[in-house]
Amino acid sequence: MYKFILIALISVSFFACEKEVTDIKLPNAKPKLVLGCFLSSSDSLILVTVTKSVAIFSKGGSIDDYAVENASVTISNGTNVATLVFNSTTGNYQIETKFFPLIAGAEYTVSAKAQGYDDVSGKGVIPVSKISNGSAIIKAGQYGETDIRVNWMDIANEKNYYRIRVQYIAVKDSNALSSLKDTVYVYSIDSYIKTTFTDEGKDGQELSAQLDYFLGLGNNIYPYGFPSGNSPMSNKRYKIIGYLIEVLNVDYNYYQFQNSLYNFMSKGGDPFSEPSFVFTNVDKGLGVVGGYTRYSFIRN
Amino acid sequence: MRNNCLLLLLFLNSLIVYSQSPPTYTISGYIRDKESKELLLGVPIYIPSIKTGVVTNNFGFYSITLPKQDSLLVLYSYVGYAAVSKLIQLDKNILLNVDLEQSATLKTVEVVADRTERVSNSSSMSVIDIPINQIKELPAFLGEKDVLKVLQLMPGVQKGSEGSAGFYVRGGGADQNLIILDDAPVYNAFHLFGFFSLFNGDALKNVSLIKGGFPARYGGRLSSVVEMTMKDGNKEKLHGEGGIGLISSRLTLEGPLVKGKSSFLISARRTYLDILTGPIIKLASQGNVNTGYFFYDLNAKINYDLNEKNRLFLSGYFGQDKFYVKDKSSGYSYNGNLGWGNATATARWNHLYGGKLFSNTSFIFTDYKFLVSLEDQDNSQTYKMQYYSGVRDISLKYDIDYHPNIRHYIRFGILSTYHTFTPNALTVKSSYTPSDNFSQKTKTEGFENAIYVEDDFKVTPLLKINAGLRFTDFAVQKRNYFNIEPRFAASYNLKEDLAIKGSYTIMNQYIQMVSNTGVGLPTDLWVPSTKNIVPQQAQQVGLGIAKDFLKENFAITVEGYYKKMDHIVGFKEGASFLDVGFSQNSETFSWEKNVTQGKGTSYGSEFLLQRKEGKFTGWVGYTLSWTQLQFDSLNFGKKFYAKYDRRHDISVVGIYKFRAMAEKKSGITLSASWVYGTGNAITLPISNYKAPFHSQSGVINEGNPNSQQPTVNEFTEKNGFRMGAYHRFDVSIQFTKQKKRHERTWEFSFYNVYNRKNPFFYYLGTNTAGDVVLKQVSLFPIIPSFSYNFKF
Repeated sequence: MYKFILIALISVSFFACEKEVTDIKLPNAKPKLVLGCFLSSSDSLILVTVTKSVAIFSKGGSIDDYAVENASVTISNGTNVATLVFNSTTGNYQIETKFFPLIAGAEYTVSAKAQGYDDVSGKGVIPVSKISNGSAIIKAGQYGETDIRVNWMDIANEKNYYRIRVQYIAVKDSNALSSLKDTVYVYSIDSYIKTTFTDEGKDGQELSAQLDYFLGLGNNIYPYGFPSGNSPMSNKRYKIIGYLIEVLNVDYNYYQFQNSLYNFMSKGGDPFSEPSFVFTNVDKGLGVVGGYTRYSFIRN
Repeated sequence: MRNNCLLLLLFLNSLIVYSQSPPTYTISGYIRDKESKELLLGVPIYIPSIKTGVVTNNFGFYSITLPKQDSLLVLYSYVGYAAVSKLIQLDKNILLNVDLEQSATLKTVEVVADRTERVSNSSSMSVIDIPINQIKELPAFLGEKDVLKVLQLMPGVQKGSEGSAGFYVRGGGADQNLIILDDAPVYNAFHLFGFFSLFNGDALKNVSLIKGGFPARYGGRLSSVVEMTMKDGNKEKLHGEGGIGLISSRLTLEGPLVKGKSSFLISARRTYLDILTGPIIKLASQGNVNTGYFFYDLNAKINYDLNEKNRLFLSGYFGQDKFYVKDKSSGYSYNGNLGWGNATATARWNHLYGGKLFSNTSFIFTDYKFLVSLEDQDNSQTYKMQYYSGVRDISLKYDIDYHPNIRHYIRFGILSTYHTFTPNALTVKSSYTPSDNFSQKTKTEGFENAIYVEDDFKVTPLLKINAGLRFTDFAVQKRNYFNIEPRFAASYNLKEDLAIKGSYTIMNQYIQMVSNTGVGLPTDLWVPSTKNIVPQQAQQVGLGIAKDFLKENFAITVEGYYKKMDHIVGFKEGASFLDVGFSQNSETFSWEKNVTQGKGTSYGSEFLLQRKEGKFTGWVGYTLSWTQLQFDSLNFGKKFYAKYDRRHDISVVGIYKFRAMAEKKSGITLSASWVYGTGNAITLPISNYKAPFHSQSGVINEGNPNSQQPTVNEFTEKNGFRMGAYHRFDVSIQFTKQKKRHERTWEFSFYNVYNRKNPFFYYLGTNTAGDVVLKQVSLFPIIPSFSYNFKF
């Protein structure tokens, strides 16, 4: 229906003309380093992505290479500093936690330097508390989606931020083509679904999150990990055998980033929507350094 | 403390002294136009012997109470009218109705006495009155005279986007303006997506704008009051006025129902773009398609003087915009309608309790509706959808004007309004997929009440104050919001023609418009404060000076203001009116989930040089202002400039009468206006990057940052980029001639004479080299227009 309104609006702007804006100085977007780091004391590997931003108003057309492979990346707990090494296979900078242990409650600073860019750094705190139980109800929704309701008890007497993650686990169906491998495929949630929650007004109470996944039916998901045309719902070549559900207790930075990313991604293409800013806590750069603790369970 | 006690004693003493004065008598009555017997409001009545005066109220009534005098000179003067003086022996109560004659109809203009309508003479500040005649003489877009667009030319009033009649006063939002027509609030005051306002100048008697120092009798909005009063109608003879323009024609008729006692006025306007283009579209589509757009306005009013003490008025406005598309071919038909409209009705009863007490009782109805309907039929299958939103008010208002003596003008009253809001009512009936059929409606009711009292008090001949209190209450969803609003304005005359002024007001607003399109779409929803959305509140202080140049017949005002706004409503980041208005999703259906509340500050200074009378009239206005907003959930809690923050705003308006009508039976009027405004503040994307992605496998980068991580934008600071400045020059010339039976006026005008391409909106595009560039869409180049106007 809103298209009808837009057509009506456009039809009255019969005098309209357009031109390139040349009489105003456009903002100078200096390329920045983009940090990505999510820290947990239960992880065995510390992973950091370093990419770059690309100015929109640039000569020579848009550039779509965001990789930065020659950065110097470090992590510090205020006392010790460790350098992360670039892994060309995964595209990440990494270090094993046995060389640089992560402790719940501690604050870490992740820094990156690369030639041609400002030095950047961001701080994240790994929460101390952890969710100890949770449950989920999974059923088919009205429009063919999968409704997943996750319930968990809030950690009392502190302000908490949560992120829920779900992945389904699928195996090859007996009717599958023989050329398909016997791999167990997983599908993770994407940034188009709201997965962040707070305990505001419900401290210490049971919290509940309703997630609607259009598994293979909608065009707003990327069923990557499956061979083309072989998503679980498309032709039964794979069948879902369970759901891995995680309740992450995340720090403020993680929450703000993930929440703002959802807002940004969910409004693409709506000309009337308010601009949505993606949060950053990276000084002189973009991206996020956050911390979390994980509670997970499998629901068949 | 001792000083305060002393002041209080002096104040009480002054009252006691007054109460012990000799017997007093009252002169009261109505001031009318001599020819039409139209009641004139805001007419200054001056008593030279005591260098003070009063002003007629909204119904043309005045009252002066003074001690007995053998000879009292009273002067009645009004813009556009010849002044009248009366010598009165004041030894009894006198009922004195005075008829003023329009100066344009006089062979020679009598200058009887010193005029009293001076900006330095009033206790109020931040009030602008625009003579209706000036509105009619100014150049206008496509020749359509527009009251609200003329208000945009005043300092402190900013326009929205190009061509829009929407306006923003002293940093307030578009919904913070109370627009009232004969006591009835008008919710969506615009036609054609904001390019024209509803108000047809032919039907109006008076327009005034209050930007600050609000008297207690006004309330309900934070930033301004635009009060429009419809003409009553000629009580003496049938009179008509009309015009034929490029896009619309209009006709106003007024005349007596019972000569001297009762009159009517009916005024209508309709566009005819649909009539002109309809046959062409039909022909081009071989008769299958019929599409068009039109809007119309209808103002009507009747009044009846029951006797000297009782008068009745019944007035109404009805207007609608409509887009329609009908497509019919073999086996298929489509019928779409998009329409919105206002209806207001006001019934008023004036009653005089002696010469000092005047009352008005109003019963007010206002209704705004926005309706979209679609019907699609393909062979035997049908799909029907109807969307509706609107707001309806029913109000009862009772106001008393009490004139105990020349020093006090006390007003008090009560207003009760029952609001019914329907932000969303959607019905779908489909035989294609019966499972999609549904019907849902959101409806909220609110009960708003206000009691006020104010006194316009001449403390000394040099010091005047207007002090008042307004008690407001809003009941909604079992929650009650009660607020006390103190109002204060004072003026102190340093010289006879020079005054310093100050004001302080608190205003509360219990309803708001949810809109983020910025283009005045009818989809903008009016919604109330709720148990979750607390009422908006503003405090404003103002300081200024007012200087009259009596010989040269012009006035200058300079004012500074500071306004603090709390609980103002804004859209959450990423929210869109498409969610609010049309979403069927339970998560986004509620408008409350898409808005957030914050605070704002606005401050600035305004300069106005205005000349209302003479061969050459007009004004020069300049505003220097800043408006910043802060929402915890927007821009990560950081302050940002409002979209319509306007650092500099200039308007220069001139009207020159080469020849006055009365002298030669023909007249030529040349008018021109030039406006300049700093560009709107917008948010611009400046770079792209890959957002870090925390996947469940623990791998962030998935080995290929270029394809798997979502691409997002880095923006400027929220509203951190300025669009290009807006400026435009318009000119118009009117040739008026008195014919045998009527007076006709040909008007030729040019909008945007030097063809400035003003920005309407920006978007990202590419140039021929493939570079991403910023592109600007402009709406209106130079547009010539002409119209033929007549009156008899």
